Amino acid sequence: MAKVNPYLNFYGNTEEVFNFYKSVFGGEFSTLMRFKDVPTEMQSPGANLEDIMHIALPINRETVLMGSDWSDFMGKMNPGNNFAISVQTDSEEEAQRIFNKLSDGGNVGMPMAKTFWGAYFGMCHDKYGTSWMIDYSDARVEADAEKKELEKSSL
Amino acid sequence: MSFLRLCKSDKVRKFVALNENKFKGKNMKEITAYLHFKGEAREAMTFYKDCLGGELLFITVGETAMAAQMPAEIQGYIMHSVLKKDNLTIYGSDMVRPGGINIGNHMSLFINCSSEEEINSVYTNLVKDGKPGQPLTEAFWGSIYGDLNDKFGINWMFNYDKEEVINNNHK
Repeated sequence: MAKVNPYLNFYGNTEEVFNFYKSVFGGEFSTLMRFKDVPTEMQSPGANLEDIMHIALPINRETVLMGSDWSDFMGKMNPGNNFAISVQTDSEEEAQRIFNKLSDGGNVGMPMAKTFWGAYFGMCHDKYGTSWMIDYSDARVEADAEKKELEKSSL
Repeated sequence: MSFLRLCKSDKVRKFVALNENKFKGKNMKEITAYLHFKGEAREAMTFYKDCLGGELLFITVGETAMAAQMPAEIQGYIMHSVLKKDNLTIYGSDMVRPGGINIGNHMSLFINCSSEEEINSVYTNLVKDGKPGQPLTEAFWGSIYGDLNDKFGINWMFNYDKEEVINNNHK
């Protein structure tokens, strides 16, 4: 079945942004393709040949962060605020570390803190304008607890 | 996942139990797209469920522990919702940051499809009442590719890798 991943556009600095994300999440780019790698007959007039046509940073087995450079032939770019990337981490320490790195030079919407729904959670914008929600909770412990509660309630 | 604890109710527990296998082993780093809507999260997420399939859960403001601190007129708004189908997860909410909502075009949802039938059907479903961008075509990188802007202003990109080699690259 289909997989869904966030796809980000930036104005000519996608490579810089993705190197920043690589420094936060680790890993290696699985794809890095520039406009100059596009077959000549398919090239878009006005595209900067050194710009990134497609870049992919695998976060885990199932999710990949992808992006490319925006070009003016695509129209006007409008960085909206209707889209954020939610990151589930392996531990509270990792959540804090990722949050600190992503918010460095950006701005903090909600500092990392224990929330009423039991997660260790925070929100920030990074210095390139991407919105992030960082979230840690022990999913396996929770799933077991929920299952037990469900069994109890159906008795 | 932890968002599901926003609300302690049978409906949430049932959703978790139903999707237990999809959450199992998910105690690992994962990224998910989180969409914000101007009060139409229920309509939009229901549309996405109709287009993509899967299980959908809504938690309204009134159902959360924060209900008492929220104004009466927003009790019915969606605090959090999740659409889950196999490897596919999308979050949606009516909660908007101060300053209001600005529907941008700098982020898209990229769907990697697993068959030609699937890419055709999800494209046809999602383009209804929206704006087609690139129609589904054979791209020079060996995939079928297309994109569109749906009726709620969300951008979608669709890709189906015909060659297994490229498919593995994306994993």
